[in-house]
Amino acid sequence: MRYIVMERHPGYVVLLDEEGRFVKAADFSYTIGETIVDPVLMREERASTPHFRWKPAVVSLMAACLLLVVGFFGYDYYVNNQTLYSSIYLRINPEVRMDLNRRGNVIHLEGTNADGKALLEGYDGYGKDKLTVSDELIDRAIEMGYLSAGGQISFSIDAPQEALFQEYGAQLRSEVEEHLKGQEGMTVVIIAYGDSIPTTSGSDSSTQAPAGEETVNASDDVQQETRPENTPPTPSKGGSSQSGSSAGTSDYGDGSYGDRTPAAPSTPVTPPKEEPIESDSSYEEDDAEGDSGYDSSTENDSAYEGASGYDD
Amino acid sequence: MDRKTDIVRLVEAAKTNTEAADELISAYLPFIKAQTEKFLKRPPQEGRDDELSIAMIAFHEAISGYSSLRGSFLHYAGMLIKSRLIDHARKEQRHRHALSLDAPIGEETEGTLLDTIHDPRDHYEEQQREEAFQREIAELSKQLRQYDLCFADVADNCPRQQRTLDACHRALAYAKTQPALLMQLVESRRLPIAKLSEGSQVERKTLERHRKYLVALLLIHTNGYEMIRTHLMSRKRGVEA
Repeated sequence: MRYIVMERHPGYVVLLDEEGRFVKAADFSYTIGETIVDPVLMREERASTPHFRWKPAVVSLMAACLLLVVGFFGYDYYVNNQTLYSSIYLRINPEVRMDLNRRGNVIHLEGTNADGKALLEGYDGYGKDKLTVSDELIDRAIEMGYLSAGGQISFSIDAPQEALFQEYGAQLRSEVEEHLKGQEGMTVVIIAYGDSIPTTSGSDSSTQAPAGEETVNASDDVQQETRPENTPPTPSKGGSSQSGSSAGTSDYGDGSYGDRTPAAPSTPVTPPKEEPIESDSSYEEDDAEGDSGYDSSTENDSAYEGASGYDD
Repeated sequence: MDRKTDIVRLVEAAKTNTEAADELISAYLPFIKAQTEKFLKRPPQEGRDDELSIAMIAFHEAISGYSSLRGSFLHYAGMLIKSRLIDHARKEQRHRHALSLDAPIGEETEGTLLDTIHDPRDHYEEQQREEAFQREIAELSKQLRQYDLCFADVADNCPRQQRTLDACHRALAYAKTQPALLMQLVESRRLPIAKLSEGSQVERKTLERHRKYLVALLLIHTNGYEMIRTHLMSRKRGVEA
């Protein structure tokens, strides 16, 4: 290839090759018009536009970061969505435990007594909001005959923070009330896990409004009915003095719970076993024996220990 | 800090402006000489040492290749100069065993080996050729100036890829069939890209991108540039002359 020197500049010359290319080359004291055969051509040293260079180190670092981020997301997702964060024990007669994730959605449902298991049969509440599941289970209970007018629905909430307890409690109350509008005389009870479910009405006149408790009347009527399986209950709770029902003593305004218990004897009968309430869950039992069922029997596989006397 | 940004600005300007580049190289000639001296282990001599020419074009490459991401410009240029000098030295080494034509014939005979080779071409002829080229080049250079161009600008704008080069030559081939078109170019001092594109079936975008080059190429095919045209035709591939 032959080149003609077309122009000279400090540091280089411009050559024209036989194919019509104009190129720059080193100037070895050339003269214009000269024919060159072995030029030292200028090399294309395009300024690389600041672009990213895929060096192995960089790639590994990026991969590691990506994994970390994904890991965090995954972990976060897992923790928030898959991990048990709180539980709600829905008790009508059948008793069911709803395990919730941080968002308040159900990640597991378990029947904690025979009726509870029956209630859940064929029902899948996974991923649903607690309110939805509560409504649906209540409907099921009605359909299946477990709940009827005058019945009581209690929600025992086991939440790590007080605020969450209050929030869930309020939500459940208003939701279920709304849902049950029109139904007669059902009561909704909200208590903290660890408190005993009120069974008597007005056994205690002390009005405490302990952290754990609110009761609400689904309807204005207060009906007192004895639930079939109910046995004369032990006026357990209330007795703040007696059962150590945890700080929150259930305070049952009169007649608010009229349901479960037939005229409950006001005499505070303190079943011996009532004592260790704080440690155990004290759920009012509708067991056959007037046994308040506070034994800390461990046979029960439900979350609350000492729940006793479930008809399994 | 200020000095740094100053030089960066100068380099940026020199990338696209031939004159600015010339000025910059001239201004930094001492630097370039110093770098060459470092390599040669002795001061370079202008006009004699090829190394200086290599270093200078390396500096020019540095101007073109520099971006602020690469650190200090002078450092970058220094590295590039050194690298080119090394390449050149290696290349030269390969030919070291060959005898230089400038070497003396022997002790008794005068003259160099070069004199013993029968030169098919008359030295005079060679010189005539060169001068003829010079005339044409001067004329073309003058014409280009009317478009505010010099050959260095044309070189910067020249297509690097073979297929783009071919495309431009297709446009040229078409233009050659349209004398009126070439006339228009000379008279209006404007490149009729639309017509060229349509006539040669080359994308407007391509032609636009190599405007300056096309101007030079087409001008060469207007009157007066026979020598240059002949030079171009000696290797034309597949494009009708």
